[in-house]
Amino acid sequence: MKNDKNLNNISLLAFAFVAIVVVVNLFTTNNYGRSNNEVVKAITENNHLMNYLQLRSIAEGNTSDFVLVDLRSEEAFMDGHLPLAINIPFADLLNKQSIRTLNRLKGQTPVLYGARESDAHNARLLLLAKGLNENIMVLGGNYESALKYALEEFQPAFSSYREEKARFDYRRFMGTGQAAPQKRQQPAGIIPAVQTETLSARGGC
Amino acid sequence: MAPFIPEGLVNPELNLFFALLLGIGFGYVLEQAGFSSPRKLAGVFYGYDFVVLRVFFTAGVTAMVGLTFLSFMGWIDMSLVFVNPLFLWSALVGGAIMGLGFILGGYCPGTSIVAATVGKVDAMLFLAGSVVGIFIFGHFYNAWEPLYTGSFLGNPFIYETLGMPRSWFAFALVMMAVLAFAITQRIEDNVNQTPKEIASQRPSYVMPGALLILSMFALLFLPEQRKSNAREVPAHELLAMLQQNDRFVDVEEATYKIIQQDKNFILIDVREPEEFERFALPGAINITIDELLGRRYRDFFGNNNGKKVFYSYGESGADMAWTVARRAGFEGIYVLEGGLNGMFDTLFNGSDKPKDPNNLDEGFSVRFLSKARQMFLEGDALPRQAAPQVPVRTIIELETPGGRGGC
Repeated sequence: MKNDKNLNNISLLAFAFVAIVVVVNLFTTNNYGRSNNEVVKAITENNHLMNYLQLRSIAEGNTSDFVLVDLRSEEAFMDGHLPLAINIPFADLLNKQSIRTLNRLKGQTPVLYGARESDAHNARLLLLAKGLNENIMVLGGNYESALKYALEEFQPAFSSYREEKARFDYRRFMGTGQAAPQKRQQPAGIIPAVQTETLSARGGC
Repeated sequence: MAPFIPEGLVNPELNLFFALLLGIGFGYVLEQAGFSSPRKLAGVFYGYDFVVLRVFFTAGVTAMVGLTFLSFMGWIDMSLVFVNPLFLWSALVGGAIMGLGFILGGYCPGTSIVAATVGKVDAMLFLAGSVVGIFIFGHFYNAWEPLYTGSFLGNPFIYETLGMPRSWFAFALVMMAVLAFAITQRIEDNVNQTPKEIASQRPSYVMPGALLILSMFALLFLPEQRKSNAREVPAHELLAMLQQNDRFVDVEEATYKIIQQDKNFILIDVREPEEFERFALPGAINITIDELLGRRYRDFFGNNNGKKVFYSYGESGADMAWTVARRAGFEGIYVLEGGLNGMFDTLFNGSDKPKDPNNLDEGFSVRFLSKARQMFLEGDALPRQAAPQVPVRTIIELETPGGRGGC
């Protein structure tokens, strides 16, 4: 009987412990709206790059489906920006006000650009991680290139300009001493995890 | 040791030590619950003692609730948990043989060892019999192999087969357990004809039972896993880090390290495998952004030796990979400034003469770059030899292919 009472108390203690751990966990973890894997999926899956042909039609006021968002600092924005752009400095990206501004664009797709293309991509990544809509777009290239190739001297050949493109015949410059192309290597010291043989029944009772 | 070893909190070498500790605890509990007595074990079938059922139901429900909570908090990766594959016929026939032996001998394999340890002769005979059985099974394995490996059904889960979410099934199972506890107590009292006074003196288990149901009820309305866990870097910290440019490795440093074949400078190519095979920097390895968080590279990013430098054609692909990896809590990672294009621009489009002859720094830089250019063009910077592969123990390898589980 005494044993049974102890058991009862122990189980109550265990529940209290679990409850405390869960509550502490709820308050200490970060409030992301998407898990890291979901973010990776979102940034690799859909094509979210805007080209300069589309940019031109926005700048000329032909379409109002998009809003250009300038991620550079306020001073840089004052000195000059793409037509019809609004300014959300990269440093203030996750402020409540900025997120509210972006959420309030009903039916309009934000198109991010910055001083560097990677700023715009990272801004999109962070906004997706915060749980904003996946349709946020990124302008290929940066502010300078957009100004130059899309607005000042538009050349259709440059219309899908972006950083992530091969620009050189790399192998010609950097002789690797091998005739054949390099094969995909494993990182040194890592051996792919051995999948255990599952085709054998295991015991139990 | 599920959350501890993959998280790196506990050395995998200690695995066997913890196995021993857990085994001692398991044996102790079995013995304390009275499982060394065949009368107790057989009691389930005659209705006078349901302690076996209660112990196993409690163990199962405890493990299930614990796993569900750990998974919710992101402390355990359910895909790493080993699940016995289902071979339909061997499960049916083996179950029948096992049940027969259980009712005849009064033990199951685990409890027979417990009972043999406390000195029961019949349990020792039972053990000897099971050794003979194992020998017969092994010797005539070819005869029953088709039965043994027949109708392999993979790893089906009951809740998947029924088409219900995991949390609902867990809830239903907890309800069943609580009901079973109450009903078996009734049956026991009836069969043993326990006097009312003794029965009324028993402590009430209403509170723990209610809490158990309540906790599972809470999990019904929570997602299977939270969006983030305590290891991850919060978004505003990531934003602050992204504004500082100390994650960039400049072209000169990268060039120098490539020529020196520095083993602590690991280039990670985040482009697609086809692009990597067409051209990659000497000694680089290829990890695309969607492979980054995989189990395969967990150990690789877990150790903080040297610099791990992401690169892609430009800067943005590598920079996004950096952000994803940094959010996951990886340390010692960098980005090649300007990417491949920037590097080749600096290396091969630069001039051989400094613009300002009085600026010593610029002079050094230009001389270094033109020297490096020569080396690369002439093919002197050979790819460094891959280090000999040292097996790294991972959690998967720790699983011995032998039998496991059981009581």
